[in-house]
Amino acid sequence: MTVEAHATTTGVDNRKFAMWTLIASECFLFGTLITNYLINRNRSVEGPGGTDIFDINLTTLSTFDLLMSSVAMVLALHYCKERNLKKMQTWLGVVILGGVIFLGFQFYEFNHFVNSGLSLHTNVFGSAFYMLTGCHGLHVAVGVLWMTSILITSLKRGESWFDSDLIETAGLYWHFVDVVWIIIFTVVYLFVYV
Amino acid sequence: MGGTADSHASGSTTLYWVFCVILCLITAIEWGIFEMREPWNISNALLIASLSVCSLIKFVMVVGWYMHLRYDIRMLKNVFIFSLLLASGVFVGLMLLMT
Repeated sequence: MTVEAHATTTGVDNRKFAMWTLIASECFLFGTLITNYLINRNRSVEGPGGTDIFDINLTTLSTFDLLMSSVAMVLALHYCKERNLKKMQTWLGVVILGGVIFLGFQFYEFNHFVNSGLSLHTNVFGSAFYMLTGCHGLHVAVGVLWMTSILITSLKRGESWFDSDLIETAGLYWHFVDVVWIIIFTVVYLFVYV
Repeated sequence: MGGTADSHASGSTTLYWVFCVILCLITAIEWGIFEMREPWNISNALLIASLSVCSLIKFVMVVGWYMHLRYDIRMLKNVFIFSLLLASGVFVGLMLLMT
């Protein structure tokens, strides 16, 4: 069976509406963290700054990776709507893989930065940087867990389970995480010499 | 559910791949601009402007097409755009106060 649509007064699935309101509140969260970073990034008294430690090539690669996972997400939804189980599961797997690779990049980057002398408490730049990118990384990790739970549910129930509204809602979350990274990549990494 | 976003999402996947290529190309351009800022002596103002435009295009493409907001109902657009404007206001206000 396909998961039945529930009663709604808004015209959209209630989970989807809830996700958009969550995204609206997340705009404030990340907006404030980005503002905090921009205000404090050049106010450090000691310790390394972005110009000393950022590796733009590596960050560009992780950006490509997240963009690819976004495409995989939209394809997973597409094949869910077409009731093509194998392709839906495959693309969901690609989304999860993309997220895990991104987290791997971030773990490597953080490890490198800490070894270079920049930790959360080294200076105000480190504090603002780790708060912003760490919060984003946490969102990616939550997304990976969510996608994994959806994939496991799909594998267990097989052809009897096509909840396109749930996948669309999860996709909205994943794309938003991607959108936030698009801004972080530009504002934090590419503006480092500005 | 999902209004016209559903009918759009069930079409061809070609558009998603085209957008994927464009998004990757823009990211490559951003990287190129960053790497060439010194050889080409790009001013900070031009650097900020060009990279911001690239970022904005990617933002609009992902939100509009991958998140299907372009095809979704007005209420969802309003929720997102209103919160984005408010957050931008907070950003501008804090930047003016603190810098």
